[in-house]
Amino acid sequence: MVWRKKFPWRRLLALLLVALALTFASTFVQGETMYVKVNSSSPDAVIQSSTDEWDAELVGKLIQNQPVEMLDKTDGEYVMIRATVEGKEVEGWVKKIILQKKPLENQPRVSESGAVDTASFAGNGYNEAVESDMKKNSDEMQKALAQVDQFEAGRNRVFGGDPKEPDPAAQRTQVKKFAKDGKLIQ
Amino acid sequence: MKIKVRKPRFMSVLLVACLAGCSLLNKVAESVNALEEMKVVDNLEPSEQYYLGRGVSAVIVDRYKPIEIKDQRSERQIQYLNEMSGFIEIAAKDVTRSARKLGDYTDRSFDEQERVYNLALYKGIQVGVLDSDEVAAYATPGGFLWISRGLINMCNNEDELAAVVAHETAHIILDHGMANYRRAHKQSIITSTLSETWFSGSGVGANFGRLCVTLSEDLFNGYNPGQEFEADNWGTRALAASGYAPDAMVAMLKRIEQHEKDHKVDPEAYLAHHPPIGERIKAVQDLIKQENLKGNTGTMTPDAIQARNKRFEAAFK
Repeated sequence: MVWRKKFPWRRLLALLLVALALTFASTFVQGETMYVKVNSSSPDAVIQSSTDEWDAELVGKLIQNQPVEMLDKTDGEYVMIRATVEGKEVEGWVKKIILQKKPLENQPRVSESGAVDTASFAGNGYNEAVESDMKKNSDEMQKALAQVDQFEAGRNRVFGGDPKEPDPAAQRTQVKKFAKDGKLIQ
Repeated sequence: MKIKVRKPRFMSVLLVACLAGCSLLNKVAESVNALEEMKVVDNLEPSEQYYLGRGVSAVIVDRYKPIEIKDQRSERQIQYLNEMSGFIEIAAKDVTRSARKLGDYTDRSFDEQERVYNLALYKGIQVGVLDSDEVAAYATPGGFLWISRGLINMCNNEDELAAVVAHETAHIILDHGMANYRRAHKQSIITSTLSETWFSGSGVGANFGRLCVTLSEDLFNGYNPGQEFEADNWGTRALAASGYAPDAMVAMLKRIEQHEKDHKVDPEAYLAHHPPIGERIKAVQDLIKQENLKGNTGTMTPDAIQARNKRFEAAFK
């Protein structure tokens, strides 16, 4: 059987190993670094002592794009992580959905062609810069967005205590009190 | 007779093969580009959904002015609604996990279902009040939820207001706004008269603006019937999971039905986007019966109901 001798078994094996390595590299592993994809004012941007929303203590707050180290524990929609919060290393539970493998790119996602076609919405990123550019293009939109700004500032002040950076821990406390006062939880 | 077959020359064959190969390669490249484009559209980051929601909200508040949060009463109302929405979202997390069982109202692919499970809101749900007597509520991509004063006034108690909030929260949690955005993008329905009035220029900002205006106009027409049924379903289950009375959803829908009769809402215009309200009421009643949904014993005591209604009246009546 000459063909068997000539067949590049070694190359095939190497290819298989590479494919296997790539497969495992793309799945969750202990010690892997992941990044926070929500804003620091999101009620989910917190590290909890347990996975019970009503009884858990908040042991740290997370900020957008913050790297966290995955630990080898999951519980439903929560994962255990280690992160540096205000100079201290903290371990606790966070919701899986707020983490992603890459830092946020946040690049423009709208083309500069000016053509209103499908492709023009497939560039990169809707972000503050794109919004600023939108405001420059329309007085109506500028005025309307000023009202949204005013609403967000007012809402954040009464729900989270700060017009710009509402505190997710304070929001959680408020929600819990609302539920208790309405006798919806014990 | 012997037929003489000419053998094609090697170079000709090679040329044909090359041309076919180039064409095939181009097609593959086009397909890859299209797929990449769709992937981008399908997977907007939470921050991008938030900016989209801000743009859509801007058009909503241009049409109906929001209440100014400037005095104790308006502050109390906004605080109340945001705390309620935050509570329902947490209490109903398992309802979202069972989103596959919400009835046969939407035809979600596996990827779409995964997007619902993995939906993260950049700044959570933000609830505002529109200073209008109209009965209206809008949930945008990125977590903005707007309820009109007219709709709040229609609620008789906290549980009914919770039904409104739960229904609108469902549109956000179940990714309805983003699903419509993706559909609009893929069908190239991205301009409208208003969008051309607001934006005459070209470039990134103007295109984004046109998109926001068009999406908000789509929202004014309402979600599609399947999405409305699904939001009723999720909302009713969420009420039960939160300790509120699931029957409050039926009560609210009946009140809206009466409002439509009283105000002679054009059924043809309404039915173009909404399912008949009678069908929605029946679907919710069937769900409550089949699943035996009810508030917790502790949350349905006269004492508990009174505590909720007292604060509801203090805030809104």
